[in-house]
Amino acid sequence: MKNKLLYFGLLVVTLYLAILYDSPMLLGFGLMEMVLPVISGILMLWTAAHMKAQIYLPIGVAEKEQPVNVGVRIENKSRIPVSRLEAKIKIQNRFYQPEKEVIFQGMADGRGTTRLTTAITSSQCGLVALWVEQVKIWDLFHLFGKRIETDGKEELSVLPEYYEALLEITPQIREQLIESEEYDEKRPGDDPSQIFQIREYREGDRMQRIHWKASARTSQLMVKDYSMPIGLGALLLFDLQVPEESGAVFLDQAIEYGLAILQGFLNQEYPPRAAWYNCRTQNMEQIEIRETEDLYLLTSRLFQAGSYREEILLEEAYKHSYPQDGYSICLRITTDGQWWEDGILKGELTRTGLETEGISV
Amino acid sequence: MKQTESPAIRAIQEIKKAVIGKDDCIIKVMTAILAGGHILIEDVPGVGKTTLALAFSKALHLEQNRIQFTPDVLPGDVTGFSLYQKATGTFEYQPGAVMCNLLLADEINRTSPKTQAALLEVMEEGKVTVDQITHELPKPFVVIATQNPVGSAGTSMLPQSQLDRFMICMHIGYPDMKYELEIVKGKITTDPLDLVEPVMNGAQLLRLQDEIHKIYIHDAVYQYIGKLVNATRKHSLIELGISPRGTIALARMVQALAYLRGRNYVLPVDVEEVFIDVEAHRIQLNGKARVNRVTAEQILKDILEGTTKPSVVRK
Repeated sequence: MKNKLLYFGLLVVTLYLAILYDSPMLLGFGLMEMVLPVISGILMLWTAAHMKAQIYLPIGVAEKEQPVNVGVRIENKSRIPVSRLEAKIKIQNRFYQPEKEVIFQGMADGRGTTRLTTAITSSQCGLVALWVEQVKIWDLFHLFGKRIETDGKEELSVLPEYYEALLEITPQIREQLIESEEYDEKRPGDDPSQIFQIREYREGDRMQRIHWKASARTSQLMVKDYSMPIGLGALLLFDLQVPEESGAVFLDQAIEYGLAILQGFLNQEYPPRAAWYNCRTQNMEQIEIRETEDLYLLTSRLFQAGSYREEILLEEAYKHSYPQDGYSICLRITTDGQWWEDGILKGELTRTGLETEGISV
Repeated sequence: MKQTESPAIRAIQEIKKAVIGKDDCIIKVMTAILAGGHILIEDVPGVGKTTLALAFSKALHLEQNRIQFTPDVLPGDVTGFSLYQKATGTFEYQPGAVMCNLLLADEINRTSPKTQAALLEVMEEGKVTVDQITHELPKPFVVIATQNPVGSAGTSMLPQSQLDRFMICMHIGYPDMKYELEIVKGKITTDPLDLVEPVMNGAQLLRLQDEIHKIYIHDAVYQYIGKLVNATRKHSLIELGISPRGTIALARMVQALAYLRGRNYVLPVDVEEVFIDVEAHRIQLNGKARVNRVTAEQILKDILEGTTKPSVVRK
């Protein structure tokens, strides 16, 4: 608007002076001032018809509070460069409804692709959808603007903080695993009472696992893998229910506490399982946690599952979905930071508490 | 020397007669050879890996061997072995596949880790020791190894730590359909390798490799390389960043690329051009990246875009 006012002001002054002084030169300037913006506007319209903008996200994963480059990729098939354009990107975390927007400006080359980027950070974890709401270009004199075609949506996975909870597993719970006489037929473990397989040595295998008789027989190093007892491991339920009346509720803590407790189980070599309700498929889902990388996979699946409003009795739903899968202990983490053990409320969790005092199961 | 007169450029023109539609791959391989490195090609069968290697051996007039790796190939097949000669009553060294200038090691992932290790050791040391007698490899010595990423059951993909031995790891990919039809038409009438003429020999290649070491790299470009390498060592999605070997490899590659571009100095844009090809296979991603299917190329591209390039001003 400011530019338009300046332009009209300049035009009026030029024409006024041209008439006042009866100056052909000033009249000529006035005519140019009228014609050039029109030509510029037509060229701008033509350029806009040959431009397209897409969301640009080089890496689809980031950590909380870590700056991430996002932007727009502008394709300009015309030869005319654009001296001013404004892009508006919308950002929405699937877990938290309010949308945010980021506006930034730049230029675009002719006959090429330009990338305009800016850095954003997210203080909450979750799946963040990004899309281009609008890209507007201006003509040479910044008088006329036009939106260009936009498409595409990208998803950024903002990871929670991973840390470890101090965990004390009571002897009664631990013995349920050790004394199991059933062994996994597909995976090795650490129970020396049963050999899972004998195989060739691979870099990284422990010297204590070398099977000397088999090695002597075959003239190459052979190692033994032990079996994994399939006992009743621990089950951790992620309750991602967000009550209707709550405002901006942060699911971060529920997910982070749960992941920390699972890491604690891993460090204690007590195999846990994680389960949750997927509101999109309306099914219970579960995953066995054997190593730290499984926690990242779990995070990805929790993000896909999303949060829900209705109350779901997760313990019953789990038993209904997985009637064959028993467990020695069932923990449940809720979005208000509370934790339950076998249906009994045990207390409220905090990160400091988990890291310093821990919990006992 | 003018660019068009350079034997390396003439060699590239010859190789293009046999390998159609893959000019950028040809330039990458030539750059790696000039930089004194080895090449790993990861791709599905039938895209022209062998043709590329044979075209290079013909254009550069290098003695070449090909070894098709299978699970029963032994380290001795690669390095050579001693054979008892009854007539003379002595053990005579029988050269292995590596005793050549250009070795095409096909499907290296199909053989045992022990045989892979034998080849990788030879690549690193430049010599073979059999029965405590050391045999020098011919110079120049280049390995073009291939891996088939599809159908990897029963195979031993080269471990990440060993990939560092290769100057570049590249994918040829399927050609554009118009080039593919040209290839088909060409193959029906004549073998395209017959069109390739030798334009230099091993001794000339060695001289070129020595000349390339003298290509000037400004301090600002070294700093730029240092920033890129450092960024990989601090990135939240990278477990293991670029090693010093990787940094040296990048410096050699940019010198070779500057030479091919007809310059006796390196520009920052040369670093940009080869950074991903030289370093993508040298970094190890952590679990967060793997689970979220982030590739090394994406991360390195992000690092390139986020690192300020030194500006070049003509005086």
